[in-house]
Amino acid sequence: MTPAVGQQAATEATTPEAAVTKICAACHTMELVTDTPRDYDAWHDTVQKMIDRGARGTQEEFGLVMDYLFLNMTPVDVNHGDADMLMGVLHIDEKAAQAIIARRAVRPFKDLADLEKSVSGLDRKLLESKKRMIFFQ
Amino acid sequence: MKNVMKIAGALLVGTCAVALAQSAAAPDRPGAARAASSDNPLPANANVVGSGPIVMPPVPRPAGAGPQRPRGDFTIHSRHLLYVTMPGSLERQMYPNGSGIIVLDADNNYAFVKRIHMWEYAGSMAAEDVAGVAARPATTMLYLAVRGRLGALDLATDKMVWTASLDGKCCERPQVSADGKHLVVGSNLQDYWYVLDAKTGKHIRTLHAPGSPGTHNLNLSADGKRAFMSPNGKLLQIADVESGKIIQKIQFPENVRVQALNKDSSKIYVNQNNFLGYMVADTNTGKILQTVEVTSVDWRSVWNKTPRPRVPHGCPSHGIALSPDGKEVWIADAIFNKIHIFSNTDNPKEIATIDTPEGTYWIMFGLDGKLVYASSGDIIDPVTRKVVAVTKSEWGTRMHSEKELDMTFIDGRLQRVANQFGNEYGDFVTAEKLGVGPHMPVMQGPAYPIASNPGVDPNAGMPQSTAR
Repeated sequence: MTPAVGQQAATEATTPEAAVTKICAACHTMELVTDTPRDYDAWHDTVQKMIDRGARGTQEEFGLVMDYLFLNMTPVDVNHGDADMLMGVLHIDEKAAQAIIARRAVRPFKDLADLEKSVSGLDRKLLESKKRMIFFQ
Repeated sequence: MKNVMKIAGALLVGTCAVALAQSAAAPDRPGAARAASSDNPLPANANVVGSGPIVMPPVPRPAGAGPQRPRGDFTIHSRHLLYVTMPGSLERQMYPNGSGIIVLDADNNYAFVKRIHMWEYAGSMAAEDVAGVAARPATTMLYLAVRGRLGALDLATDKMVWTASLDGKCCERPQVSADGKHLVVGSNLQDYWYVLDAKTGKHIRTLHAPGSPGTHNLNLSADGKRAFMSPNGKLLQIADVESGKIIQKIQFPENVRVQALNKDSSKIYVNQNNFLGYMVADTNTGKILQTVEVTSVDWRSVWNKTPRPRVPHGCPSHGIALSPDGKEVWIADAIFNKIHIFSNTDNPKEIATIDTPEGTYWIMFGLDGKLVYASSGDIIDPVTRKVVAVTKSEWGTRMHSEKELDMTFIDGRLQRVANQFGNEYGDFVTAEKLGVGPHMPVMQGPAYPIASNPGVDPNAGMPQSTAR
């Protein structure tokens, strides 16, 4: 239904998932998002391209889209990512992020098993599900 | 068969992916791989897990690069445009810029965007003079008044939504309340103003102002409740828009010309005939508070001689605006082609003068007071007092217009619009911040076309006026 003049076009999304569903899935399948992890800047460029191609939303909603992409679809290099990146992508708290940074300063992590063995407080199930986005360079 | 092929294809893809993964992954870590070669197309650092797509690692950031781009720093499809109406200066009917609304891109040095033809005119006919222009986000419409009719333009399609001639004596400068419910517009030189529904154009009531013939300018308080109706005469009347009753009258010594309101519309600043300066009146008591004269130029010796010099609009000053911070009063000087700027204090002083050789007969502050639009076509930085741009048509010729609108859009939806009058309360966003205007939600999403039946007159059949 076409909204009346002066009304909002649609309810504004207030969560990252809702924003992605409303804005991204309005034009294409979610697989196009979930199949193509990329780093934060690349996602930023992608979202801008989508806006240029007609994606509609507010600045706040596009911010929520970026939140979703950062938390779920952004790769991280455990041996180089900053605390914010580690916390966001690995879904860990600051204490765990600092523990990773302290350990890698001594000896870089070798792989996922090394990470899981060396740092407490990690969600193994989550790490397993995101392992294609976790790098040790 | 089709399904079999699909499964086979999937298996093939899966097998390939596994093969790639095996070849890509070094024995010591999942992300490591041999260097790319003709038999191994993967980049050395690609991550391949199962049959999923290849994921590239994040691009290393240089040391000390700081945080990544701020979240939400996107270029939404916003536009900042200036709508210049033509012929928009009564004194320049022969000025060769044609008719219609010329849209300029304020974000691109006022480059020409397009020309909108509100009404078509035969080549043999002269276009009607534009009397005033207004617009409102609440309706996403622009309202153009000409001597004879009033039109509402859908800003999402640039098509006419409705057009009205009312009783045949329409129209002067229109103003629209922030909520888009009321459009108040003067009759053409009569002694009444019409109140219309801004969305439909339907006539709601008439504001009669006996004793004020020569309907001319019209202003609204930021809350849209009071109409300040000035004729080209000495008696300015203030009406309650809802009831239609006159609630105050202000008698001036000379004909009132352009007017502007302060923040809470408790004071009105007006140009006067035969006076280079301005007067300030209290709108609650009806008393004149200040008479401020320009003394930096000897205007009286030029003006008070026979024959009197002919200047546009026939008065020394036709143009007044308050800066959005309320600290300055800008007035036009039609004798010496200048703008004089006064401090807006109990004891006003002229603090600056700007030359506008092309002649200024209207002054408007743009959104947030960042720029000043003079009818000479000069666009002025109010801080440096310098002319920073000139309004030009698609032919590169300077455009003179006393009826312009500074507007911002997102995806065709009007977001903000500066007032054609130089009121201190600015647009509805500023008025709300100042606590004098209602809250109006910022419209989201793309604008939806509303011009479905262009050219319909919502007041067809209205009795025609027999007044002069």
